[in-house]
Amino acid sequence: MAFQRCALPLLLLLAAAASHAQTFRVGKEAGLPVSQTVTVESDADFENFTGITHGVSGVIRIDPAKKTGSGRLEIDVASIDTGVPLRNEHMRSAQWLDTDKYPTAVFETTSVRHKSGDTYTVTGRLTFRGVTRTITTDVNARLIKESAQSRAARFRGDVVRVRGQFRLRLSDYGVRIPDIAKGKVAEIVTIRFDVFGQTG
Amino acid sequence: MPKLLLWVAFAALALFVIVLGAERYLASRAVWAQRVMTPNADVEALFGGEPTPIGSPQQYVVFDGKAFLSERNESGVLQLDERYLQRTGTYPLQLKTVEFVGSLARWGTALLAVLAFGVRWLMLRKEAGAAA
Repeated sequence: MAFQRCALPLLLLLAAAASHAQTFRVGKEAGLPVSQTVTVESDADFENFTGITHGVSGVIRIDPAKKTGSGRLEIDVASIDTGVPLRNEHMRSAQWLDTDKYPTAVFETTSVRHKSGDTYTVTGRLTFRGVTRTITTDVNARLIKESAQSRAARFRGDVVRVRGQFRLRLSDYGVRIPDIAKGKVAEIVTIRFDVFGQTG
Repeated sequence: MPKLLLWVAFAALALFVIVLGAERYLASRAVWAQRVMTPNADVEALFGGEPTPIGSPQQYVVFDGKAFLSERNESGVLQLDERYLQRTGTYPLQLKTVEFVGSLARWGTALLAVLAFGVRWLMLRKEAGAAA
């Protein structure tokens, strides 16, 4: 019994020592002094429109020694703003993003491989509109150790900035573009993200 | 009636010319630019001043020179300040929108002119046939 009492904390300590992964919290609740940015760009005949949201939350884990990591990010799809109120209203409707039923999209990594410098190849599952599909993309993850400068910039602990982009086909997630909107909305959209996390 | 059709045809032709002129003028004012969100002071202090791009570079027609940042991006493209656009409630007009709408308007006015001339010609021919 005494052995069990000692063994559990010891195992936890060993596990912590073996893994140097840091957990970075992302989003408003993490108290970050900066906003996250996720954009969705549609390149259609009529115009390129870009929707923007700052509603991103979740966690990013990075092991700098092993140059790997993992993460789970939740994007507030309902808050995407395209700059035109009427278009936002249409976009949130059941025919398009159906945000009453699916207010968020979730990206969860399944593998992270170091490529070069600050670039990592990330594979993960994106769940959007109730459909889950696998996505692979290169991301740039820049880590800044806690310093007087980071504290002066009102960050707490170590800071990470992750940037990248990928493309997705709307029909893969159950969005069918009506004929009348075909010149105005592209079938394939580009998602770009620029998110920050902090350990403190 | 033939007189009215003649008026319609000429009005459509005049509209065609106006649309073409407006399109040409707006195209001459269009510049390649990238919409960007400039970093706040905290981010700039830690990660540098590189702004976050919003969408991809496009040909924009923007008359307000204050909407552009003084520096171009690393590809040499002008940068449109998203914060300024949001503050002033400006939705930047794209050249592809001008061309899309212009093309529809040109086809519409040209078709209307041809139809009006055609119908007028048929009516006059019918009237001439009846008189003979």
